[in-house]
Amino acid sequence: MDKELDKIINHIKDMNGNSSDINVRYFNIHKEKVAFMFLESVASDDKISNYLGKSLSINVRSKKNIFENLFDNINNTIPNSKVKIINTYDDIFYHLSSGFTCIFVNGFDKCITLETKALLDRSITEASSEPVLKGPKDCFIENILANMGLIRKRIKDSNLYFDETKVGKRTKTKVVISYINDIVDKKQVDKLKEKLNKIDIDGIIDSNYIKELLSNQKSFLPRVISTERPDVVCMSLLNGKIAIMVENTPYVLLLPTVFADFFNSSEDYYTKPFNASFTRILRYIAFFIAILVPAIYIAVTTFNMEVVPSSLLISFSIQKESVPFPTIIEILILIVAYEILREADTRKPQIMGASISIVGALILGEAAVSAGIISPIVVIIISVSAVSGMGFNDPDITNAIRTWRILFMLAACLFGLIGIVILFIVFVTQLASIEVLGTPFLSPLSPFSLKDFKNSITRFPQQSIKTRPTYFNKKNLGRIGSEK
Amino acid sequence: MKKLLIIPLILLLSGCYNYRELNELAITTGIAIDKEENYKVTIMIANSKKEGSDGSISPQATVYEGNGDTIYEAFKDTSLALSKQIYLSHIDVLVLSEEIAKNNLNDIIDFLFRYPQTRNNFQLVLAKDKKAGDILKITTPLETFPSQNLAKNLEITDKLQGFTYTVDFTEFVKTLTTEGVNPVLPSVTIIGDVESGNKNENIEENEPQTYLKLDMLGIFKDNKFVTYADGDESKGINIINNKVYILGVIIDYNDKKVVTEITEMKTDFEVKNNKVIINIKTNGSIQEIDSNVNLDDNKVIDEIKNKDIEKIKEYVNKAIDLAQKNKTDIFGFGNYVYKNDYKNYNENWDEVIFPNLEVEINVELKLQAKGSINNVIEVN
Repeated sequence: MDKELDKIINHIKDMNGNSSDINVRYFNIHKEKVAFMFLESVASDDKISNYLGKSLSINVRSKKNIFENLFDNINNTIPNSKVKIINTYDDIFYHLSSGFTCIFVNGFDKCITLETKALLDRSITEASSEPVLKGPKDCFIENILANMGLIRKRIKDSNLYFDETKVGKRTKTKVVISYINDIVDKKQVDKLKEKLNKIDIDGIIDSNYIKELLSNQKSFLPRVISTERPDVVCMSLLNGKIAIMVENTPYVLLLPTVFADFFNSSEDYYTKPFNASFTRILRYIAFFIAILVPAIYIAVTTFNMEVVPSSLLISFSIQKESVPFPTIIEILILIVAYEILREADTRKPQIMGASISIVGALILGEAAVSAGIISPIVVIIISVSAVSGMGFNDPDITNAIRTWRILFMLAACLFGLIGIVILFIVFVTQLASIEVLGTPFLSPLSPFSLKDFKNSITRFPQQSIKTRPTYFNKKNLGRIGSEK
Repeated sequence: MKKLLIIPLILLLSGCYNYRELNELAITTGIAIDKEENYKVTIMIANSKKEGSDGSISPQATVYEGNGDTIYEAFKDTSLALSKQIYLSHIDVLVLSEEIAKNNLNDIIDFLFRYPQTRNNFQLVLAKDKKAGDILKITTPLETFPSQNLAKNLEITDKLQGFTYTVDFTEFVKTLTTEGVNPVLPSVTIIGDVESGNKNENIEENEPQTYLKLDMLGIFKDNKFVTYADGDESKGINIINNKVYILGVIIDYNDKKVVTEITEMKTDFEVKNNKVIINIKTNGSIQEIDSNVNLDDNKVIDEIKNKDIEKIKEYVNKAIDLAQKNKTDIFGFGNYVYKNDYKNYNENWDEVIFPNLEVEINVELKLQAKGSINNVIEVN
């Protein structure tokens, strides 16, 4: 860094191509040239004028230096809680971009930065993508400090750690790993940190970038869960999981993930245990209906008709009579139409509202059947499958369901029920082969652990869930009846 | 990546073995086989469609016939009239004419058992005094398909009546091939005019002019039909073969009729030294009384009970008499000896030993309930 004030200012301006939001103010204190600099796009004008301006003018008014030089004097008298001294241009620009103001004193090759961030975040709102009926309504926002706060206020334990790193060569995004030190498996934390440090990318825009960079892409099912609910994160932390928070993202990642996590909702703990268990089992049934029903229909109507009761088969046959396409084409037409409809529904602006659902319902449901393009039973099959697949709020799992559904259909179309059985074996084998940070994906089913069933596939009353899940970490499992 | 591409290509090479579209199949739910000069096969196809006046589609039964020297040819002849492939996995019922049952049972059993498509759990029934093909043609207002109607009729009668029972194809073949036992089959007949029975008008009337009615059991000797049992004999066969769910026992008491309904009947038998001992355990409840008797009196109950026991013994004796007269062991006494007392079994069981078997019957009856009222309602 240079020592001359003009050189420093010009260098910074040059670095940023004289961007229009760079704001510099020069003034003299006791004949020393001083300047402060901030980016008006991210800094708060109010804070700078009211607090920084005021405190600097005190320096102007006071006749003598209490400290050795003006730099130390300013550094020691400025009324701000986040004052730092930095001395490289890169650092200066990082702080400027974060909404800090830099104060330069002529003749010093360092500068004082202090926090003057403008509030660019929305306030904490209700969770929109993971709603619960009765439970906390707050939700993470784009501000990482606020997100950390939402967790900290729920777990007031000195063992709750936040480890910060910066990822992304250009975006320099803060990534915070959070865990409860005496519950978590340290090896997993180390492994995760190592993985994060290996990430070499220009920018991280969203936590999904990290999610993708951390997981191995060989399976269709996601291996990291993301949530916008602080209560879900806190439950997971207490179970021994690790949370990854990423700056500017309202979604927090949770690791390691097991298959059962996709079927659990925080709501399960806010309702009666029996009802929650029932709902959980229902979700598993829905999952298998979603991926298997179209395939089974294809298999039993084109290969294994013997297994269908006579009157049902006759009814299938009559409905199929006027349809000119093979069953697989018929189903694919409807599935593609449904997926397009779903995509359109997600992307369209709210204001276009009902038009898509009307067109979709009328054309898909009514007209296509009466025009003889698809048979009514196929509409029922696809609807049942689609509705069953909609019980999951994570788009990753919905998409995994879609992929497996189509794979199963192709298997059924080529080999009938035998094809479905073989593909199912492949499916289960693949699930069983996944490990996330050393935790088997199918636990507690495989490796089998009866103790963990209480709080996995079913949900027992809180009093009877005496331990944390044993598959994340083996030590310090006590939940009820232990010291801490 | 190139290696991975091979997998879908291999999958496509295999083609779609056994792939059939549903609308290319003629789903057959009933078969009837007659013998005239050659075999005549009648099949009932269930998935032809009928469009209602409001545009709704419902299934309709259609019947096709074909002739041939072999069953195979007769089926092929039938399919000449069809735009679809005959599909035999969903047969409800197979109707056999008496002629076939007397002479050509083996051909039919061989064809249907060998044919990979058939599911072997369809029911067999004899067409008593009628052409088997006509049985499938009689329309019925209660079910869409005559074949389904017949199969359900057999099942419900088996459960509620006690004089006939269902025999499915597997069971029939098993009985035929088992040593020391001969099969029986239920029979069905047509009441009314066949010609008007196969028209749709038949089911539009409040009182169908033509309908199917189940008749008594037909008994076989080896693979040849011999004769029909009458009502009492049929009941006896049911009792010995342990097939009774409900059975009405009718006795005379003080010159009036008393009906006892038998439930939970359990029969077992053993054969020792050319003597059959049949043990029957059962419950009963009084269902209908004409005469003015005092049911509170235990003596009366005992008298009714004893008469019931006598009646049950009479049914059993009649059935055994019929079988012995025709020299065919339809109860499996021979099979019991074959399994438990092999030395005393004779190759010619039906001819030599069975007609001369002595019979002992023990009946244990618990007369439990008297219905909703105790005594007969007195009309003053």
